[in-house]
Amino acid sequence: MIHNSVVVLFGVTLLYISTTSRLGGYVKILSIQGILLFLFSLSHAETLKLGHTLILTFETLVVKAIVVPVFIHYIIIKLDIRRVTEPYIDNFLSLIVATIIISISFVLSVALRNAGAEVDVLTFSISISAVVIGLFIVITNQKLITHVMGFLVLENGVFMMSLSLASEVPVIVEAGVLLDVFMGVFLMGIFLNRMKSTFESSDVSRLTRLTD
Amino acid sequence: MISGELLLIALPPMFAALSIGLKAVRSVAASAPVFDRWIIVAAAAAHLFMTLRLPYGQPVADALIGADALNYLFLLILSVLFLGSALYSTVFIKEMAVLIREARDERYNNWYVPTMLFTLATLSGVILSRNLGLMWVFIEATTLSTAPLILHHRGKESLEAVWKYLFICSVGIALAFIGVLAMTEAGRTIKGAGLSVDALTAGASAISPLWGGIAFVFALIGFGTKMGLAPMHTWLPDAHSQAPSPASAIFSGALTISAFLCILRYYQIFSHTPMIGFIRQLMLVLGLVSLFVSAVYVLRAGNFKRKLAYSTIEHMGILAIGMGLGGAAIYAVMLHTVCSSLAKHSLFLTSGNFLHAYGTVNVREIRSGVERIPQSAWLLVTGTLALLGFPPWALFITEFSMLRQMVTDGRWFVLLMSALFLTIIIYGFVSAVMKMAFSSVEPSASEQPTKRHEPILSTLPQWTFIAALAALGVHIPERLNTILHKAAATLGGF
Repeated sequence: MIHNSVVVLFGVTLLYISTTSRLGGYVKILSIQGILLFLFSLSHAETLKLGHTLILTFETLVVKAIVVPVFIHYIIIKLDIRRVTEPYIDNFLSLIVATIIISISFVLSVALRNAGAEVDVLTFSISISAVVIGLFIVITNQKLITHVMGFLVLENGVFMMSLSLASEVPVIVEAGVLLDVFMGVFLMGIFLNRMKSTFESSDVSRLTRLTD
Repeated sequence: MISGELLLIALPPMFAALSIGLKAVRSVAASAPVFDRWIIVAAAAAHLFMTLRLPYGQPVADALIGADALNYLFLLILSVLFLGSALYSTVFIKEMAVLIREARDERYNNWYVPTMLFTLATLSGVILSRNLGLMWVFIEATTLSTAPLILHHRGKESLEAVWKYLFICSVGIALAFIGVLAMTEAGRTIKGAGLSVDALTAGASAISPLWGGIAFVFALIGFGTKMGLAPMHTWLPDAHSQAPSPASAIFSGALTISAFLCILRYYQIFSHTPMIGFIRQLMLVLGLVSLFVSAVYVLRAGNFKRKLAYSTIEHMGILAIGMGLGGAAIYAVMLHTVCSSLAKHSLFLTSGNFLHAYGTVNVREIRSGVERIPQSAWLLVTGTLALLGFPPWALFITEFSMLRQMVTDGRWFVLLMSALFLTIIIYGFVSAVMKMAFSSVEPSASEQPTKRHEPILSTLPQWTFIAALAALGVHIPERLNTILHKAAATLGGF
C-alpha cells in the first residue's frame, strides 16, 4: 500500500516538474523525489541485508534528498543564474507531453505483462516515464544547470527501476549509484569553471562554437 | 597468485602513481617531461609484453575477468595502439616542454601521462570483463578517465567538447544500465547465471525473448553512444578534435571499439537464438544511418581532425553493418576492427604532425605538405588510401568481402546505399588530402615552404602500422588468423 502510494506520488512530481518554470521548483522537486525514493527503498528493505539498506538509505536520504539539491541551490545563488528555466516550449505543452509519456509507458508496461513478463506495472511505467521525462527536460531546456537536473530525474527513474527489477542482486543497484559520480562531476564542472561566465551565460544555445 | 588479466588492469595505474609521486618530489619535479616520457613508454611496453604472454584459451567459468579469442583480439589492438601512442607521446611531450619554455605563462600538463595510463587501465578492464555489470562499471570509468585528455588545451572549445562528451555519454551509460537491468530480469530463468557472459550464452535458449530484446535495444543505444554510432554520435567529432593527437588516436582506435565489444557481448549471448534476426536488422539500420551521417559531414567539415572523426563514425557504421549481415561477414568485421583501428590511429597521429608544423589542421590553410613535412605528407596520403580501402591494404579485403556478402544474400538496397555513401566519403577525403599534400602555396603567401625537421618517433609508429596493413592485405599470419576465426565463431560466424 505504502509502496504504491509512494510510486504514485513520484508520478505526481514528474507532472509538476513539467509545469514549473522556476529553478527553485526543480530543486525542491528533486529533494522530494529523493525522500520518495528513500521510502521506496524501505519497502524493499526485507529483501536487502542491513549493509545494503544502509548504503541505499545514505544514497537516497543524504545524497539525493539533501546534498545534491543544496549544492545546486548554492550554485544557482553563487553564480547568480537567472531563476527561470527558459525552456524552448511552453509549460502547458510540456505538461501535455509528460502526460502522453506517462500514458504510453502504462500501455507499454501492460503490454509487457500481457506478453508474459513478470512486471509491476505501476512501478515499471512510472520509472520508464521518469527516464523519458528526464531526457525530455534535457532536450527542451537551454540552461546547463537544468540539463543536470534533467539528468537527475532520469537517474532517479533508473534507480527506481533497478530497485524494482534487481533488488535481490543489490550489487547491481549499488553499481547504478555510480551514475551519481557523473552528476557530481557536472556540478563541480559548472561550479569550478563558472560555466556561466565561460560560455557567456550558462545556456546551451551558446555551446555552438564547435560545428561543421 | 595474481592473474595476468588483473595485472594488465592494475599495472598502468601503478606507473601513473609513479609519475604523480615523482612530481610531488621537489628535487625531480622540474624534469617531469623527461621521466614522463620514460614512464609512458615503459608502461606501454610492459602492457604489450603481458598481453602477448596472456593465454586466451577457455576462461574459468563464472570468472569476472578473463580472455577468450574475442576479447584477446581487442586487447591486442589496444596494446599495440597504445605503444604507438606512447612512442609518439615522447615527441609530443618534448614539444609541449619546448612550448612552455618559449611562452612562460603556460605550465606543463602534469596530468597528461597519468590520465593516458588510467585510460589504458580502464579500457583493458572493459575489454577483459566477462560480466555485463562489471563491463558497465568499466565503461563508466573510461568516460571519466578520458575527460581530462579532452580538456588538455584548456580553451573554451575544450570545455565545450568535454561537457558534451560527458553529458551525452553519461545519458548513454544510464540507458545502457537499463539494458543491464533488463538482462538480470532476462537471465532469471537461468539458474545462477547472474550477469556472466558465459553462463548467459550457455543458457541463451531459456532467456525470455521479451526482456532479452529490451536488454539488447538499450545496450545498443547506450554503448552505441560511446561507440559513435549515428544518431548518438554528436559528441565524437568535438571530443576527437579537441584531444591531443596521441590521445585522440586512442579514442578513435581503441575507445570506440571497446564500446563495440560491449555490444558484441550482448550479440554473442543471443547469437544462437531466434532473436538474432531482429538484432541484425537493428544493427544494419544503425550502420547505414552512421554511413549516411558520415558521408554528409565528411564533405562539410573543414577541420581535418573532424573529417577523421567522421571517418571513425563511418568505420563504426561498417562494423555494425557487418554484424548485421552475419555469417562470413563476421570474420570480415573482426579483421576490419583490427585494420581500421590501425589506419585511424596512424592518421590521427599524422594530423598531430600537421598541427605542429602549420599551427592548424584546417584543410584550407594547409598547402604543399610534401615540401614542408615530406614524411608526414606521404604518411597522410598512404594512410588515407589505406583507411579508405584501396588495395593492397587489408581494408580492401574486409570491405570487399562485406560487399560480396551483400550480393550473395541479395541485400541490394544495403549494397546500393553502402556503395553510394562510401564513394562520397572517398571523394571527400581524397580531395582534401590531395590539397593538403600536393597543391602549391598561393603566390600571395609571404613564407616560402621550408623543410622542417621531423623527429623519427613522430613518423615511425605510423609507417609501421601502414606497412603492417599492407602486409595483412597480402597475407594474414597463421596465429592471428586463428584468433580471428575463433573470435568470429564466438559470435556465431565463421
